[in-house]
Formats: sequence, structure tokens, C-alpha cells
Amino acid sequence: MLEPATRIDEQLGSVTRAVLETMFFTEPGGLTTEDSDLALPRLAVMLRFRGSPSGDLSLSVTRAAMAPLAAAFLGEDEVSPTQVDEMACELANMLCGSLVSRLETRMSFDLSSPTLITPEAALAPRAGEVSRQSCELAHGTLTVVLSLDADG
Amino acid sequence: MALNILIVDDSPVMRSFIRRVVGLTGLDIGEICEAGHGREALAVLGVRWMDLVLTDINMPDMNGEELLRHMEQDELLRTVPVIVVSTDASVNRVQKMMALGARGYVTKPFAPDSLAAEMERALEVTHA
Repeated sequence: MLEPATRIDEQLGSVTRAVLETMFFTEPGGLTTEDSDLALPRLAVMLRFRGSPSGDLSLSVTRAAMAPLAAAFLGEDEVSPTQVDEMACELANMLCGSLVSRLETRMSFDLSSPTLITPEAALAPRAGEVSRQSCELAHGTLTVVLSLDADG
Repeated sequence: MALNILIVDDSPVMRSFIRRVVGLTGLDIGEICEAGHGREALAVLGVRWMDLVLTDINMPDMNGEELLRHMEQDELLRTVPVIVVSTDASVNRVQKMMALGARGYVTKPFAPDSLAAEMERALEVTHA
């Protein structure tokens, strides 16, 4: 049985904070539903999950914010653009897996491979959208959008 | 004796992270090998002895579940402890992977200490 929308918002915020703190050693700023720096260069990722429920999760983050996250994760001073892209994909993978595990704690699910998409596609309103959360990072904003299939 | 570790994950950055965590465990680590999916892992296991396998589940070509099934069918490989490192924390998945022979299960995100503790636990079980 699906959680109410406000509960999903809380779960998405909680998962985002947990992933950033545990794996990226980064404490995010406040959560908001507004993305404050849309004009800055961004990268975006989407992946689908199949199970109960099914849907997709997309993520959009400023490149300036993703680079230090990748460096912290990898324990390196500098990271390549390829590593930044791979890191965004892995961040989306962890956020999606953690969130779906909380929405449905018993049933297993399958995740697709994360793929890079345009920031516009990641942030566009979608049918089935149930939660959208942004959080402030040291050098920009991270926005995560969760959508559920109509039959999911 | 130094322990050989095989890290199986389709994400290069996640393999690098796990490699770094393995290096911080304080265990006597020998060779650390990497594979991007289950089939690559089996190729490595075919030519090198590994004392522990750390594997993701969702991977292209051959996923972690199939890798475990292949290892369980092999008389020698079934003795190698496997720890699953996955974002899937569902009870069904954990039970299924443990039933297939996994010795431990760590859910992403994980604190480095928790993976280190699971590795030590799995290796103690093996060497007991």
C-alpha cells in the first residue's frame, strides 16, 4: 500500500540527507520544493524502478555542486568530468534504491541503469509526479523528482 | 596470509569507493580485483583465488543473483564468502540472496565501518 504524499516527501528528504551524509560526508542545507539556481550548468540523471510500486526517479544537480561531492566520495582532490557524470548516476541509484526500499519494505524491486538526460527533462513536471525535493549544497542545488506509474 | 578481494559493481566510482573502504579495514589485504558484472567476476574467479567477493545486484550482462547461483554450483567457488552490497533493502531480496549463499548483506548507503565489520564477520565465519 502506497504511502500518503506528505509521507513520501518526508521519506525523499530523509533519504537524500542520509545518502549525502553517509556516502559523501556532506551535510546538505535546508530542503525546499524550489530550485534556486536553474541558470547554472547542470547535469541530470534518470532511472526506472520496477516492483510495487513502479516509477522513475530523476535528479538534477549543478555541476559545481556535483564535483566536490564526487571528490569527497572518491577521496581525491580532483575528479574528471567523466567521474562527475558517473557519480551523479550512482547518487541517483542510491537515492532511488533507498527510497523504494522505504516505500515498500518487503517486496524486492529492479532498478534500471541510470542514464544521463537533459536537465530540462529531469525537472519538467510529469504525470504521476508525487514528490519533488531540492536541497542546498555547498556550490549549488540538488533536485530529486519521484514519479509513480498510474498502475504502480 | 593476505586476503584477495574481488569487487563486483557496474559503477566504476562505487568500485573505487569500496576499494578505498577495503583499504581502511585494517585487514591484511593482498590483491584487490574489480569486475563490472557477474560474467567478468566469474572470469576473474576462474584464474585467481579470491578470499572474499563483494557484489552489487543490479548489473548488466550477469547480475549479482546469477553470479551467486553460478558460484553455488561450483564445488570450489561455493566456499568463497560473498557479501552483497546493494541499494535494495527489501526483506524479500535480503532473504533471497542469503538463501542463495550470500554470507553478508550491506545496504547502500553504508558507513565504511559497517562494511568493514561485515567483511570481518564473513571472513571469521569462513576461517573458523
